[in-house]
Order: sequence, then structure tokens, then C-alpha cells
Amino acid sequence: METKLRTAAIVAFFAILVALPLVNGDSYVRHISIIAIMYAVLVSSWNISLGYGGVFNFAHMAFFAVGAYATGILTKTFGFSPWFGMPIGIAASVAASILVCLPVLRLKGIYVILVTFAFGQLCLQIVLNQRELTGGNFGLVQIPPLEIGTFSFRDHQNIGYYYLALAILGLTVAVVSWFARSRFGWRVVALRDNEPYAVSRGVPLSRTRLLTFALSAVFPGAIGAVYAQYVRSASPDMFGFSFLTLALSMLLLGGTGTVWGPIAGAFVFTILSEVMAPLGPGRYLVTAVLIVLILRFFPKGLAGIPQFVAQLMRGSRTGQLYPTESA
Amino acid sequence: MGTLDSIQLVFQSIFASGLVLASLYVLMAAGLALVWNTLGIFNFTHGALMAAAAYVAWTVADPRGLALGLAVGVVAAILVAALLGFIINYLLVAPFLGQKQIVLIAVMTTLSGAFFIENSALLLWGPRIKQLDKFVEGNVRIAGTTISGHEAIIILLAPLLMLGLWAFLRFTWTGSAIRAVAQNRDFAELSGVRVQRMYAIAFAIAAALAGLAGIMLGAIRFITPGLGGEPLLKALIVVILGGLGSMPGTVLGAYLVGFGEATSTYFLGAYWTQAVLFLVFIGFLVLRPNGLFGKQ
Amino acid sequence: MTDILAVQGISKSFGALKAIRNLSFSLKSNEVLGIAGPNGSGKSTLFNILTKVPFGPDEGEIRVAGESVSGLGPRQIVERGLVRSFQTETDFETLSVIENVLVSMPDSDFRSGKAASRQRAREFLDYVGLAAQQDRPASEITVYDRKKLMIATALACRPKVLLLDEPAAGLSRPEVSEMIELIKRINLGGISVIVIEHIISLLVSVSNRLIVLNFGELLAEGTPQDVIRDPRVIEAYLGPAAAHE
Ligand SMILES: Nc1ncnc2c1ncn2[C@@H]1O[C@H](COP(=O)(O)OP(=O)(O)O)[C@@H](O)[C@H]1O
Ligand SMILES: [Mg+2]
Repeated sequence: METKLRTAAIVAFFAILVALPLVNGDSYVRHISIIAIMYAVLVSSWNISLGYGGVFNFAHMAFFAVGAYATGILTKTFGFSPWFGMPIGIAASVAASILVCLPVLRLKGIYVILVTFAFGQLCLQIVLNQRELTGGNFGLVQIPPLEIGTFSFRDHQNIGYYYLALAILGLTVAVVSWFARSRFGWRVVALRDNEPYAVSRGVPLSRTRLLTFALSAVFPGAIGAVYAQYVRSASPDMFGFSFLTLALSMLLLGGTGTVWGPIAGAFVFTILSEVMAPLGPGRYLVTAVLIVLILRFFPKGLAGIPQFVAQLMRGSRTGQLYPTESA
Repeated sequence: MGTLDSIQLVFQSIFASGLVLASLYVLMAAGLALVWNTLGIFNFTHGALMAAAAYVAWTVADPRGLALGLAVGVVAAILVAALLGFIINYLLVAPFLGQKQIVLIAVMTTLSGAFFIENSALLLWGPRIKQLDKFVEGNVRIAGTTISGHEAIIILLAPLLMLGLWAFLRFTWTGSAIRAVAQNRDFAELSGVRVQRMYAIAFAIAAALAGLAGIMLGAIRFITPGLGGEPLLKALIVVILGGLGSMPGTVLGAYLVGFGEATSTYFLGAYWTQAVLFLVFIGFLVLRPNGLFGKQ
Repeated sequence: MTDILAVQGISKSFGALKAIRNLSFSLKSNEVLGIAGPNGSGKSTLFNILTKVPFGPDEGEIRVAGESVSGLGPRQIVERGLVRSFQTETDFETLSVIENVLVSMPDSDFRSGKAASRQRAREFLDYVGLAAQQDRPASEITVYDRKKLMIATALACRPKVLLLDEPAAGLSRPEVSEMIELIKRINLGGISVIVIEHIISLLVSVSNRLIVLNFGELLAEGTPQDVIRDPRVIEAYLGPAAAHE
């Protein structure tokens, strides 16, 4: 019953997204949809390391930025075909994730936040430093777009980018769903729940952590590349606090450690931001208040709602934060 | 002879700029370290508080604002910062204390707080760039190089302030109570110390210190909502390098980072220096997470 | 009979505190060794350093089936067959009961497909009487069930030597009897066992041999019946007055 409902919801969700461009050709709606889809990919892949892994990895948005810059620089300055953009973005992002994971292996708690955040700042300083390559403060502009023959991905209100981003989202959902039910996923969750116990049962700590980082970095790398080709630029703001806070609030709003929470969070939040656009900076005040309220009163986020309802209906059964095989 | 002279010149200019930087870092890091020592959390609103205080000081002091003069502006700004600190503790920290993941939750709530304060500043004061008057005009010569009078004040203020903070923690009842809470919360509570209140006081003092740092910065840099962003990162680095939980370590960390940065800027340029700084920081976190002087 | 586990001269200090001092003992194949000792005498610390979870000994040598484990990490020690339980009920709280077992099983169990590995996991749950609970989150089951689940996950690692740290602490009388039966059954299945316990009835009924630790040192060793009558043991547990009564 629950499984059927779930499958139906997934099919409906993607059916709506696939059909949307057929019924709505408005360029503003198209742009917002693309951005929401990209956020959904970023946040649900962040969920792998932060939610399931319980590792406070604050470098996830830096992986996205690294992917965007690597794609931009190699396709614009070094003449690689834009079709190599995505592989380049993924390779750069995964390499960055492994680099940052090495110190993380030795650290705990607040130090993980600090070292991952410092990594993003280090990347930012290098970007600002290498002005000839990266455009420094002004960002990297005129990144070559994707084209097939005479068809540009920008034609028909960016329809090419829309479907490309949607395909990546589909893949992300498939991978995260697989992950949550795989032996690898159990190991990741086991390490989060109780590290010494997991180690005492033969879970390989370093290898699992490294793979967690690498897997979660594939998606920001891919989306970073496509984003750079879509807006045709990469900017140092991608390493900034604001961007990080925004993505974090989507993750918290949606609920960590579930497949659908972060995606719901990304969509609800992007739409909310657009609705609040007339408020100017005021919408960030709402964002900030929202994060604190969620942390205070709904630590499970949107993902906690169905369970909350189910609990009301079923009575005694206490809640289960993370999906298991039975769900 | 000639080379010796030029070496001396290099040394003098590095020394002067290093001393100014280091003193600024002392001001920036003191409050952050106080909150870490007492509550065991990192307060990410620290930088935003600097910006807020600079704005308040500007509004009160500047002829285009209330035009009450710099002195009134400084006092008002420090008071507002302390009040903000109190509120931040009440809303963003106190409700979460005692939770298992408090350190990590506090990062998120205070990050949100910083986001809130910065955007409020943008709404209230607009994007137009502002600057505070310098405390004194004119220049001072130290160690063979010239620095501004304002910078000289910063250099003097830093050790005085730390001395004051030390004396407060050492010799007043409230100060001792704060130290007691920092050392052993449960024991302090049993001895009748009102823990929540000490937390609030420590937070307010730390915020006032952030405010002071913001005011000093507001006269040498342009006041923007992001004024405290970079100083916050520097303060974090200083506190970690100095060793979490150690006030003298923080001061030493500040001078170390200040002089190190000045030296590196001289030889490698400003951009590489920042990259090197973060690299050293990461190296430090991995090799000696308890800092230069912290317990291993 | 060969020694499945041989411990020679191990020590562990925490600062000035010497938790384990120059301790040596051995365990024969298929033997059940009981360990008793007052609180703080270093029993749990012994299990910590045997398995290197979370730390190894400062000095001394540990051999499993004749092979030294000094250079090995905690994961390799598990692979050599030295597997422990913890004194407090420990679980992977957000995984289901069966996933707790699945995550503990070695690579070889996953070679013949998903269904086979689940089937295997169910057998371990069945063995400790938890099959009916398999799909519940581990955080929802009772304390007793959690203790049994911890043993099931240890068995899933295919131990040669199973280290049980106070498996019956906090259990009711009938539960203690069940635990005794479970330990005997595990031992009959060919697994050597070291069990730390305060409950004398359990120690007496399961152990072939009993050792007593005091201040990190070996205080007494022998058959359970002899050891519990040893005045030095009574003194360590109850104070000097009791020993002379
Ligand atoms: N990680 C540790 N750090 C410091 N001291 C410890 C640690 N683990 C155990 N101890 C100390 O070592 C001694 C032995 O503890 P333990 O092995 O848990 O005793 P037992 O299990 O026999 O009750 C105790 O005094 C305890 O406080
Ligand atoms: Mg014990």
C-alpha cells in the first residue's frame, strides 16, 4: 500500500516535470524550474554525506563551484568541447571531495565543519588569485554553451538545459534511492549511528567515508558544469556563505536522511523565494527565521510530516526518521 | 651596508603592518574565544555583530545621521551590540543547549542569525557605502615606519582590552562565576551559580567586544553588511591556532597570524597570502587540532 | 588443544591510571572463559584493547589462532575472528533489526545475491529469537532484545572468539536463564567465548574457567567453584572484613 502510493507519487512528480514545458513556454517559469531542479540535485546529493553520513560537510557547495569553474576554464580557455563539460565537472568535483575528505577522516564534530568550510575558502582564494584564468572577482564569463548541430540548448526558452537538468535529477533520485537500500548505504548509516560499534562489526571507516564523499560529489560536479553552460558564467559567490546557508535551509526544511525530503525542500524553497522576491533582502530574513524555527520545532523537516500524520493515525508506534526496507 | 639597510626597512614595514593586523585580530577573536570557552559553541554572528555595531556608530555619530558625535556613537554601538548578543543567546543558543548535537546546531542557528543581521542592515542602511571618522587624525612613527593615529590606537587598545578582560574574569565575582561555568558546568550549578545567566552575560560581553572591533574596522574599511565576514574567518583561524579554550593562546594566535600574514603579504602578495593562510589552517586542524598551545 | 587466543603481557594506561597492568592469559579452542572483577577493574578496557575498538594496548602481544594481531587494524581483527559486544546495549538505531545484522555480515555473504544474504541474516536473527522483529527499527525494540541483537550482529561477523561484556546486566531472572542457554548454544556451535559478568550464577553455569581482575591485574584463576571461594576474591569484591568472616 505505502509502496504503491510512493511509486505513484514518484511517477506523478516526474510526469509533471516532463510535461511542464509542453504546457508552459514562459521563459521566467522555465528559468525558475531549471533553478529548482538544480537545487534539488545539489541538496539531495548533499544529503548523502550530511544526512545519511552524518558528516558535517560544509564543502558541498564548493564542489559545485569547483565543477562549474573547471568546466568553464577547460571549455573556454583550453578549447575542450562543451560536451566534455560534464565529465570535467564531475572529475574536478570528485577530486576535490577526496582531497577534502582526507583531513576529515582524522577529525570530529566542529572541526569537520571548520576544515570543510576552510577548504571552500581556500578554493575561493585561489579563484580570486588566478585572475587570468578565472576572471577573479568578476567571475568567469562567456562559457561556451551546449549545442547539437544548429540546435542550441538555449533554444525554446532553454528547453535543452531544462531536460538535461531533469535527467540529472532523475539519476540523482535513482542513485539516492538505491543508496538508501544498499549495503553501502547501511554502512554509511551505521557509521553515523554509532562509529565504534560499526567499526567493531567490520565496517571499513576510511574507505566508506571516502566513497561517501566521492559519490555525493558526482552530482554537484555534473550540475556545476551544466549550470556554468546554462548561465554561461561562474562567479566567486558560488563559494559564499549566503549560497551555503540557502542550500542548508533547503536541506533542513526538507529533512535530512530521506530520499524525498531534500527534493521537496528545494522546490518549496525556490518557489517560496520567488513568491517573496518583492521583499528584496527581506526574504532572507524570512529564510533565516525559517531555519531557526525548523531546527527548534520541526527537526525532521517536511519529511517528518507524513510520519507525523501516520503516527497520529496509528497511535502508539514511535517515529522512524530514516527509511528502511519496510517503508 | 646597503643590503643591511634595506633588510632593516623590510623588517620595519613588516613589523608595523603585522602589529596593526595582529591587534585587530586580538579585538576580533577575543569575543569569539570567550563564547567558545564558556558555552562551548562557535558564534557565527560574531562578524555580523561587527557590521551592525559599525552601522549604529555611524548613524549616531555622522552628521547625516543623528550627529551626536563619535564618542556617543561608540558607546551606543557597544551597548546595542551587547543587547544583540543577549538576544542572540536567548533566541538562537539557549533553547538548544543540552542537545546532543549542540555544537553543530549552534553553527546553523548562528549562521542564520548572521544572515538575518546582515540582510537587516542592508534593508535599514541601504547599499550605499559608509565610513566612520577616524578616532584621531594624523600619523604616528613607530619603529621607523609611519602608521595612522587610528592604527596606533588599535595597537594600544588590543593589549589593554585583553588585560581588562583578564582582570574581569579573574577578580570580579561575575568573572569567576563565568570561569567556573566554563570549567565545570554541573559543579558550578551545584554551587549556586546561575548558569544560564552567566552564559547570557558572557555572550553579551563577547558581542560588545565584537562591536568594538567593528567600530575600529568601520573607520579603516568601508562599512558594508559584509564588513565582518572576513574578520570572522580570521578570528576563527586565530582561535583555532591559539588552541580552543585558552585565552592566552588566542592572543598569541592573533599575533602569530598577524605577523605571519604581514610577512607573507610582503613576499607573496595579498592574494597568495590568503590562500596560504587557509592551507596552514587546514594543516593545523589535521595535525594539531588542539592548537599551538592547547592540551593534546 | 591449541590456544585460540593468547595474551602476553599487555598493559594500558590512561594518564596516571594503569587500567591494565602486564596481563597474560590464554583461551583454548571451544573454551568459555569467565571474567569477574569489581567495577573499574579494567574488564571492559581489556575488550577494548583486544579488539582495538577504540584503542589498542600500550604494550604486550595478542595472538589469535597463533597469529599476532599487533600490526592489524580493528577491521582486520574482526576478520581474524575476534568480535566483541559492548557493555551498554548498542545498536544502529535508524536501521531496521535485520539491517543491523546485514551491515555486520562479511563480503562473502553478499556474493550469492540479495535474497541469499537476507536469508542468512534471518538465520542469525532466528538463532537469538528475533526473527519476528526483523523489520522494526532497532530503536524500538526492548533492552533485552537489543542485547540479543548485539550478539546476533557479532555472530554475523563469524567470530572464532566471541567477547561478551556483561551480556546479562539488567536482565530479569528468566531472561538471565535464556542468556545462559544462548551462550551455551553459541559455544556448542564451536565458538570460544570470553564473558565478563557480575552475575555469579551465569559465570558458574557457562564458564570452564574463571579469572578475576583487580586494579588491572590478574587476581585469581581457576575453576569457577574454586575462584569464587578464594578469600582474595571475596576481599576484592566486598572489602577485607568480609574475607575473614
Ligand atoms: N577511555 C578512557 N579514558 C580514561 N579512563 C578510562 C577510559 N576507559 C576506562 N577508563 C578507566 O579505566 C578503569 C577501568 O575501566 P573499565 O575497563 O571500564 O572497568 P570495568 O569494565 O572493569 O568496570 C576505570 O577506572 C575507568 O575510569
Ligand atoms: Mg565494564
